[in-house]
Amino acid sequence: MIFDDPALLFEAPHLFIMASGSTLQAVVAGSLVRRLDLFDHDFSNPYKIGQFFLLVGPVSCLISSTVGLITMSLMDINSFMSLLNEWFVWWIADWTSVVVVITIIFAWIKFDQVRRKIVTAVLAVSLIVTFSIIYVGRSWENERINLLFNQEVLAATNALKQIENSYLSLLNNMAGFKRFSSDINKENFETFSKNNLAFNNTVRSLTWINVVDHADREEFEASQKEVHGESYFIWEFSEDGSIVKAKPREQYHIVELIEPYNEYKVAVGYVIDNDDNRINAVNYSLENKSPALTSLVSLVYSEENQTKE
Amino acid sequence: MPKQTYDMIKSNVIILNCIAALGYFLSAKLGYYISAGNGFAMLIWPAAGVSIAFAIYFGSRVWPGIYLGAYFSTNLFGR
Repeated sequence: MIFDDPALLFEAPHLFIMASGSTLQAVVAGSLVRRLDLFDHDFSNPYKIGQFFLLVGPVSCLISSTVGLITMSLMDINSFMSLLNEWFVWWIADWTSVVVVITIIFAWIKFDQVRRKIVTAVLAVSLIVTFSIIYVGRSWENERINLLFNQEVLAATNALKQIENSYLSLLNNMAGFKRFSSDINKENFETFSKNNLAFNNTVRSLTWINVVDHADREEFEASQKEVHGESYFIWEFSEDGSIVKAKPREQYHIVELIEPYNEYKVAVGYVIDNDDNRINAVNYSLENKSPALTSLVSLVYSEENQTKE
Repeated sequence: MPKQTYDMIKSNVIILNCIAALGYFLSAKLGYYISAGNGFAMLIWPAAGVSIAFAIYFGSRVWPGIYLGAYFSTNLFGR
């Protein structure tokens, strides 16, 4: 409200202009009816009745809807075509409402008792029927929307649960793999990954990350060269996004193994320490001995980063 | 409405405008609830009829009341 937030005056001037449109509509309709002397008749002259309802209905009701349309269009509140549709509904709604409301008010104020009762009864029945239809229609519509929403939520929940279960079972399998494998090497990791990825359609690849102290870096690098070839080195992204040898640090979290290897081998040797998202998840997982989920991460083996080879 | 009350209201511009603002606002509220907030264009908008009836009966001097009612209803109900 403008009293709570005076800045609204400048932020939402369309509210003032739209209110002006509604006021102008009423004042113009009232002035024209009075000037053309369509007000003080007893509703017995068909010509005057027609003129009156034409004037207060479709003619004057053009004002508010048109002012609203132009204002919202100029302020880019909605697309012009969508506003055009709004304008039409607005005009029709104003027009029909004016005819109904004015008739009720006039019947009460100007008609004699018998005519008043007849008109009131007819309008009251019409209004009750109309509102009942609107009410029932709206209830059905709400019910339908609720049902659709619940179905969508249920489907999404089930899908998410399935994904979560598939991740958890994979993690459990990995934990078992580590527990029962005395030596984790490229061959047995490949066998394990092939077996597990074949039955898991939500995981694209598996990565084995090793934690290496700086003192062991050279030894680790030498051992990895035997597996992945002489071109192997421990790497990271530089600030400008190019691939560089990893800077010395106390500890390295290195992608040691990855499967499917041929597809993603470019990621081997990557140090994830600069990727806060992943390193936080790894640390959380190590500290709490539980699985950890990250938000979306950009993979080093995505197409735009396939430059290491 | 007794003629005396009607004359009193008709002659007092402030009371007249207050009633016009209240009449507009309440009928806008009714329209809003009936139409269940369908955006800017409500399906039923009795406030338009009420404001025109006021303007017909009392002339253009009720415009401040209509404007106030229209402003508050636009602010609260989007129309």
